[in-house]
Amino acid sequence: MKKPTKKEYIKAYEKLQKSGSDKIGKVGTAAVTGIGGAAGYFIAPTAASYAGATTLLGSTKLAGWLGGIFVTTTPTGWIVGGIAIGVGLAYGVCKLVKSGAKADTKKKNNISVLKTKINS
Amino acid sequence: MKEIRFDNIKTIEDAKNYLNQIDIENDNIEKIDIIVKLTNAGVSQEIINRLDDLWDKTMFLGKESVAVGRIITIKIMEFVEQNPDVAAGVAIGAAVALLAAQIPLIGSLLAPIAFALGLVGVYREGKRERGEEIEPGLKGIINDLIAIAKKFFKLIIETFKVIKERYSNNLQLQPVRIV
Repeated sequence: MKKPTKKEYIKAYEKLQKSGSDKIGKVGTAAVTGIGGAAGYFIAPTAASYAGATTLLGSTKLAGWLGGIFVTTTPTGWIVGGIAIGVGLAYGVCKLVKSGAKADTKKKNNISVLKTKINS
Repeated sequence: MKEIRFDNIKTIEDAKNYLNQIDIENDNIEKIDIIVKLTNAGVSQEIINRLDDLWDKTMFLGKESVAVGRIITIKIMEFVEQNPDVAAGVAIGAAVALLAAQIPLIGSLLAPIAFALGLVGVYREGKRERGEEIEPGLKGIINDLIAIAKKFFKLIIETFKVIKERYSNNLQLQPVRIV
């Protein structure tokens, strides 16, 4: 794999500065803290209409698969819920939520690293 | 290190040598380089953040530590670069789908990326239902691309199959705190 050129660093730096925050991270964090419904804007509103009160992120399928994880707010609850749907997926989703919460910090770090690279 | 041409991976030595070769060939590549390339290719920040996480994952083969996340991320990026006519996000989707299906061992590492890609898929489905414009024929493109990915990732898949056979119960993925 080739290393990016300085031009590519500059282009990415400009794009990163303009890019929005991590939407999935926001959705995941909101769901875990019990206000998942508010995050439904990210997923199709039509999907939400199928499910009524039992939706998660606006989707019945997601609610069915992941409800065991998101209905509880403690890490223990996530793991217990995860067992019901498969440890692999539970791990993935918990990791996703965790990483999503840190996403903006990561972006800031990346912008800072890029700035140093461009100026070096 | 002299470059070895691998046609297939049959032994644990082959597997380790192949992983070593990828590591050495890309010695000068840093995580930020992958982020730069993906950002410039228009990949969404959600997917980039999950690949960023994957980069840091290591696996212990006995007492040896292998930068498995770094190696897989680099191979995924190479696949994206070798398919310039396909949107980067679609190429990543095909690569992740294939690797997660063929190598259960690393499925948990790829799950966050697959999940992020899945949410994007649900979002697209919503757009379609609302009558908004989306690119047509994505399913067909993905299927074709997975066929290409099978060839591209053949050695990586064989490598992890050999590793799984050799180390079976002694394999340890980097422990990750969930909270």
